[in-house]
Amino acid sequence: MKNQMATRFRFGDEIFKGISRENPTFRLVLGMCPSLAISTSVINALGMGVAATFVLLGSNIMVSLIRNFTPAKVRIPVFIIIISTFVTIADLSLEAFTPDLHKALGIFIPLIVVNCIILARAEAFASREPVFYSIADALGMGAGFTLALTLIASIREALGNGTVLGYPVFGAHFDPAVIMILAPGAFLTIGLLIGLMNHLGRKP
Amino acid sequence: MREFLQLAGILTLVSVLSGWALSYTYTITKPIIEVKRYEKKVAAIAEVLPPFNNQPDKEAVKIPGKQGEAVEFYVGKKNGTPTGVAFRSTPVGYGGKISLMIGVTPEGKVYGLRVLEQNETPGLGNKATKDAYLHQFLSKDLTSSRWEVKKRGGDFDQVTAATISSRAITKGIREGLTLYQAHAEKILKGN
Repeated sequence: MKNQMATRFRFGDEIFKGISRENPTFRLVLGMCPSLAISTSVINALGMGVAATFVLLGSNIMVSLIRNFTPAKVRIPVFIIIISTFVTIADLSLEAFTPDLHKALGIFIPLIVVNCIILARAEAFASREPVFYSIADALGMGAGFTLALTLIASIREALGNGTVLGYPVFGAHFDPAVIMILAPGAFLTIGLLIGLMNHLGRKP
Repeated sequence: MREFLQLAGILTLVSVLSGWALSYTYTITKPIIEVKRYEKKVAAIAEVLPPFNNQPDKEAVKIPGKQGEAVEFYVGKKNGTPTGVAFRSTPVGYGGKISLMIGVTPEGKVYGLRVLEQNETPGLGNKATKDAYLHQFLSKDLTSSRWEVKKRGGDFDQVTAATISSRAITKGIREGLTLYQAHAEKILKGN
């Protein structure tokens, strides 16, 4: 009974870790390229987050399943093959079922292959831990990445376009600051948010 | 030697499994993707043409364009009489190619415009791909206007701070109209 409690506790903790203290965007500062490029609108951020979470979940499960048969010397190529397989599956499925979202995300779907979060979790977590916890890790990291992207995108879309998810938030008199949806706005937002997170998470 | 075979074997096995998973996904999604693309094309054609009752996408006339690529002209007919012609033009904007669907009357006046794909800067260049901007081109033809933006001595407005995108759209329509005018007779007659 006690053991079961511990298991359940750890599963939740592995999820929570990805959202807060090991948040891929704000804490580990991984996957910056898509975070900068895709966070121009909330819908793009959500789409990217969900697609990356799907790939992360698939690759973490597979990597964890074969962790005892994978020789250390070829583990990186094996991880890359697994990751790119799931990315291509996500790419094709998005194009077939949500063509508009697929068009908006464009090149960033294939680029999930080189998203450091995925390979980093395969290497640092899934290749050492059982499937159960690897699933928790993928869900947590995916959720953390999605939440971070959505937060950045909400700020940029609101200030740069006056909308959130396409709905006006400031009324007709608001004059949007276009710089916020251009590249400098991405750097400003992410930089200030990382600074804020560091400030809040500072140990006394 | 044994280790070498083992490493190669495992990599091969992983690749084969991955290849199988990919081909399986591909076979499932391919027909759906093609249907979606086709529906989108048909919808865009219908949107830029005057009312018609044939199937313009089935009766495309191919004309070699400026760079030698074939441009398809879709003729909309009502009871056999041509009401308009739709075709694509792909000028290069600030963020790469812009894909435009242009609809003209048989005489060559712009009837409808629709941007199918574009990567112009959100909030700046992409304003030139919205209806509010495209509206000014409607019912214009090659002789009625100077096909340039006002900044360059033409007749059309440009979007402030997005001259490249505005010019690309203007140029794309102009080149499309020119190509249509040059071959109008052949296109209207059909294959």
